[in-house]
Amino acid sequence: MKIGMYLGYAPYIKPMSLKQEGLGRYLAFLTKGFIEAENKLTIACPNWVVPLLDELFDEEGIDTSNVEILTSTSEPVLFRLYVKWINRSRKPKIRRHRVKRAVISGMDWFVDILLRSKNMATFTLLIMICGVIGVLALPFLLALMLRYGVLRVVRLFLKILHINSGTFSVRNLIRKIPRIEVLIAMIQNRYSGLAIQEKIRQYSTDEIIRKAARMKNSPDVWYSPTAFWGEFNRFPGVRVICAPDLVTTEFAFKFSQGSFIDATRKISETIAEGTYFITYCEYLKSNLLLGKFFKGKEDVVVVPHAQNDLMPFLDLADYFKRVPFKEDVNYYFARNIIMPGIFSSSVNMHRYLIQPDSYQNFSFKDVDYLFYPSQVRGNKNILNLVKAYEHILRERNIPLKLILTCNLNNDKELLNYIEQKRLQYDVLSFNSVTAQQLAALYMCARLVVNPTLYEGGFPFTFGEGMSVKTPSVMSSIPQVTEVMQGYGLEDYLFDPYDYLDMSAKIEKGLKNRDELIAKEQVLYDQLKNRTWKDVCREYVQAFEYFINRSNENEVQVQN
Amino acid sequence: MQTKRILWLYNHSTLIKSEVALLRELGYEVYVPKVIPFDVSVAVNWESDRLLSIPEEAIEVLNKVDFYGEEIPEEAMAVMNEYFGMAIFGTFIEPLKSIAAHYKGIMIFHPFGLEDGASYTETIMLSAGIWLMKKLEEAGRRFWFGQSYENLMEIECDFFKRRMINLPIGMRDTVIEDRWRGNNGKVLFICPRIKINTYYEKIYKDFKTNFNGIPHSIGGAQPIPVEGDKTVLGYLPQKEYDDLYPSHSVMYYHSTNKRHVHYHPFEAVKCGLPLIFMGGGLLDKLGGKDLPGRCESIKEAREKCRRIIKGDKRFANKVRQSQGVLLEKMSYEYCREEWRKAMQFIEENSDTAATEKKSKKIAVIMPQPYLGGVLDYTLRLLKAFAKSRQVSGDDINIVFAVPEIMMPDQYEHIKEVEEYGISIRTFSWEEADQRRIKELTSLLGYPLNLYRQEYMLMNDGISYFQDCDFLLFMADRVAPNLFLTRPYGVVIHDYMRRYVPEDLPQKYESAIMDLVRNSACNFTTTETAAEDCIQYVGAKREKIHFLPLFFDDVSRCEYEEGVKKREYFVWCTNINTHKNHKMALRALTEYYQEGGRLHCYVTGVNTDLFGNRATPEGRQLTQKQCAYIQEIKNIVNSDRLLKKYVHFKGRLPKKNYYSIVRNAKFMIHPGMADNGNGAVVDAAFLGVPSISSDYPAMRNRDEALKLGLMFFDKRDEKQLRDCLLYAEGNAEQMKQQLPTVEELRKHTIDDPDVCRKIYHTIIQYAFM
Repeated sequence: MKIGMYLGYAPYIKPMSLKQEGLGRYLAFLTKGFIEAENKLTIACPNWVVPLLDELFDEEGIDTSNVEILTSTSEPVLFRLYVKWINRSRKPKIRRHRVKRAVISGMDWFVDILLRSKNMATFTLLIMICGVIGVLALPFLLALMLRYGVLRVVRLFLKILHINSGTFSVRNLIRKIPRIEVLIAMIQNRYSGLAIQEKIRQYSTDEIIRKAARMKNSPDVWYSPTAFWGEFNRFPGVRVICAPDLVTTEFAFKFSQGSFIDATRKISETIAEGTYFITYCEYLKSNLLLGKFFKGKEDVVVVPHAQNDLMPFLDLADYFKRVPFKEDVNYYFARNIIMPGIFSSSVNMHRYLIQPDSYQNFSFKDVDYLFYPSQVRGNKNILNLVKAYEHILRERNIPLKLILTCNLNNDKELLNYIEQKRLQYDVLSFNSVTAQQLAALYMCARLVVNPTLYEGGFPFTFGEGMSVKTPSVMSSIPQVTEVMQGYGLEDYLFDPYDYLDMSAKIEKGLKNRDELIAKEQVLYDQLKNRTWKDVCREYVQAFEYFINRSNENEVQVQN
Repeated sequence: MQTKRILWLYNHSTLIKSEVALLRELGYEVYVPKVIPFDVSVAVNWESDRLLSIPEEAIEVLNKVDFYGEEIPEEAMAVMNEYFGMAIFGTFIEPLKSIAAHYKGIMIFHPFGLEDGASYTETIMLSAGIWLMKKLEEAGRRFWFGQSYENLMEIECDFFKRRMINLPIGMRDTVIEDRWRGNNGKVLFICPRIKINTYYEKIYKDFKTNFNGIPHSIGGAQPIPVEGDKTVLGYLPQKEYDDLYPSHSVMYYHSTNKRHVHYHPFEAVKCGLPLIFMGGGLLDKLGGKDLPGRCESIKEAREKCRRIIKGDKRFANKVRQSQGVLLEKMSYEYCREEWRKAMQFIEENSDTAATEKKSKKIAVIMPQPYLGGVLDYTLRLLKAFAKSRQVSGDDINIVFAVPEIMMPDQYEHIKEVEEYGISIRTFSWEEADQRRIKELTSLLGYPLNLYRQEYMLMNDGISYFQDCDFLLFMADRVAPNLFLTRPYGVVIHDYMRRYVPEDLPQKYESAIMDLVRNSACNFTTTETAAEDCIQYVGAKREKIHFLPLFFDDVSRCEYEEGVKKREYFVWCTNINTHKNHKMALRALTEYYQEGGRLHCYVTGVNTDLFGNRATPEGRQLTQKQCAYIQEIKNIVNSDRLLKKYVHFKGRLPKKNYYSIVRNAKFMIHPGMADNGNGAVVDAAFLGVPSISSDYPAMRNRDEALKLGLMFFDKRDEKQLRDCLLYAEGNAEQMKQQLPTVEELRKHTIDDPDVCRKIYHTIIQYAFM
């Protein structure tokens, strides 16, 4: 089959990479899967995305000979110059203090000679020579003063006049002129980076759509891996959109603190205008697409994700066969990764902790903890998890820690709670860890706890945890129960709105950890069998189904 | 002639071939460790065991020891001291501590060089403390610094410089066998463990940027495969591995490190592969600055590599012919000669007898002016320790240090330890700024740049405890940023504030945690406290040692038989919130409402303030405490029954206190959490049963002493009420559940076993 994929990323100003993006990895999996199943792939994208793709495919070792790229001509000159200017390299000034050092060593030398001269005549002579040199050097000194001193004097002068309290710069000086500031603000708002980026993006996508329409051998189906890009609905032929969750509308109160309106509006519009959809779980199909957007049951196909295996990041067992290690070498390695300072690849704790000073020489060697890797998002329910943890620690006297990966500074409510309850020594957060560090954190955890209220599909935390033999207890939400039912795991699912229930299930999980692992292993083995290859095959099947459906519809219309 | 045996405490796979053989040639029997470190270039040499003329059991003991990550156990140390006159070791801190403190033979510190900017002096001080350097220096002529490269010493402290000998490292075989063909047109770069170690990851990335556009392969073991880069070879079958060096056109070596070099450049030279390397590093010391393969810049290196790849045979041969000089100082023969000289020097100049300090001194320190449980416990521990010292006959002096503000009021109370031959000393906290600390460390001989602005010293008016070999803190509440030059241990009671949050200023909280994390050892009595110490404070499990539970035998104390005026039970508490007063008072109200008629006597420091008679004048109380006292007072005053039945006695003289307990029906302990309450044990000695809230430490104590405690949920006043009502009717029955005094005495200092255990545990881990 000939598959077209659309990526409408906006031009980036700061250097960007798809490798770190969640969507990037998903894209790599899809591309790999499509090509391996001998489909032809066309990727339509603005020209600034091309190098990102090259890098991503290179990293993932994807053979690009079967990938055709449909792209726009280069971005406007003005924009290129702007980007260049923003990213101009700023070399740090190295102060060598050459003059200062020369003067000091000269003085040392002179004092030395003065101290050595035991004869009055020599001494007088020296003083006189010194005077002459001083007079001769005066113009140079003045010149030096001009060179180094004047700027300083000017700054001092300005400071005294309160013209500029910060560093001296032309921009700051201009800003002091009345009305200019207002004008700058106005211009900044109208032509801010974002607005300009969006404009340029639009020009390019228009161009791409024109090109796509004129393609001789156009793809059988066009696919958009996200619903962010509304223009996708203007592509010719059969179009399939991947419909994500609409978590912002489900948790509007929480999300109203950020600026999510634009994104939400765009996604809603894209879905509203689209015809065929792929989602990650049954719940989203029935609830979002059928329920909210009133799409036809036949126009939505569910393709769940495959599981991420984290073991390869830590697997040394094979290598250590040669000389037997004293304990489980993978676990030892993982522990060392989360021990600050032992390994150079270890987590740099100081970057992450609320009070880094109190974590000098902290040994993570035997620390037990609950683990929940996630961003700070309105649906993630972290505060309730912290409350459940507090109950476990203080009421149930189970002495473990809670480790998160969100940036606590992004959630003041959460941070305040932690500090107020003096949990800052026990609730730690390591944000933006590498994939390997994440794998290590998973492996060494007693339990993975996922308290989420809403997800776009079955949470990855389950498979990621089990791939390194750490079991999960999770929220009893439809996205979870549709996968987990039938494995006798109901006792380990909790009501995420009730922290006491959460804490009871966590405690149960801790107490019966081995039993939990055994039960979850059965489910995990099932899920694990489904690889990204299978996922891609289902995508292709879904595409075929939609193409047929579209043909049928056309026939019906013609009749 | 006596057999010369040496412990060679490495598993480095290249060195094991040369140095072990070399030592054997020099007439030593060599022991090589069997528990390997977490490293991929290691080897185990079992053959060495066969050649050792010591009992197999002794070898067995050593073979179980991890000479890299852990302190060396007592048993293994005994074997080392008995059979081995010398030990050669590296910078693995935990075993180094044990060796410094307990090994009696000749110590040869033999490190392989660090990154530029780091010195061994600093590394040791930062990871263990100044005490370890002092300890090594105190070993006198038993300690030697055997440097692997002649320039290691340049950046070390004077003490290391004075003990310097040269023990160059080399290869077993340095004969050049020219196998080079160089036909694949690629640069060979060696960079192992890219995905394991960010140090190598950075080297890899730098190489990738610097050699972009030049064909290359990257060799070295990759336990975790590097995806998406076909130039990284990873695991190779033996045949391809053997052909790796000969087939490549040229090797590039990146390091400009002045005091450390890898082995692979030498391997390259050995098989005739042209070596292009960056100047400024250790190779300059071996080959000078004129080798044609040496480069000043990346650009130059790229050009030279390109020339050879493109087939410039003349240049390649010029490089090849000149680079043999690099192997000269690596050769087995050269190293053997140097080692022979060095070992001879060591044998002639070492003195294992003279430096053994006979008498030791331990300081037991009360960091705060505690009057209650901590002081009692400290006095008990001192007595037990002193008793056992007497029995063992060890020459150990004991100093008991208390804060100056405790004297002279409390002298009466603590002077009893003097009878046990313990000297009492007072101390006060003294601030010292960064500059003073720098001067101090310079004077000691190990200048150290510390990053904090302010430090605290403990001034005892004599020597700042310099005369003591080990300091034992009896609680963790010390001043922030304490600066110590002696190894120390901490006795941990509990981490109540983890469960009952308490407003402790950040600075103190950190200080407490720092003290415990950085100590040489920690002691505690319960699993609960140990677990918190690991989970909350982040101390290492191996550093927490258990002392037996032990108590005062109060059954022998004086007390008044006294005529019972009324029937009552005792509640021994203090004014801290974690004693759970509010819940207990609610329970008492319900108890009296339900018809309970026993009076309640409340005892403990400052508890008289809860009643209406006492006033807080003259007592050191915080505002918060005053507010809390008022709150409790209000609760009591607003309830008629509580006012009538609850009597607040406050802190009582021991005699009165025991009298009150002895005549009580039972005792209650409704606290939230701690490391176990001592009052219920006192009560048991006096034949009085107790009711206690249910938490791990109390369960633990109940099991250990078989106290027959009655438990209730610390948050459920109904349960406590029911317990009280039950106990009122069944006190006699409960009494029968109590253990006999003889049984309880097994947990007092009257029991020589308990004393011995305490003494031995402390001595064993004290690094004295």
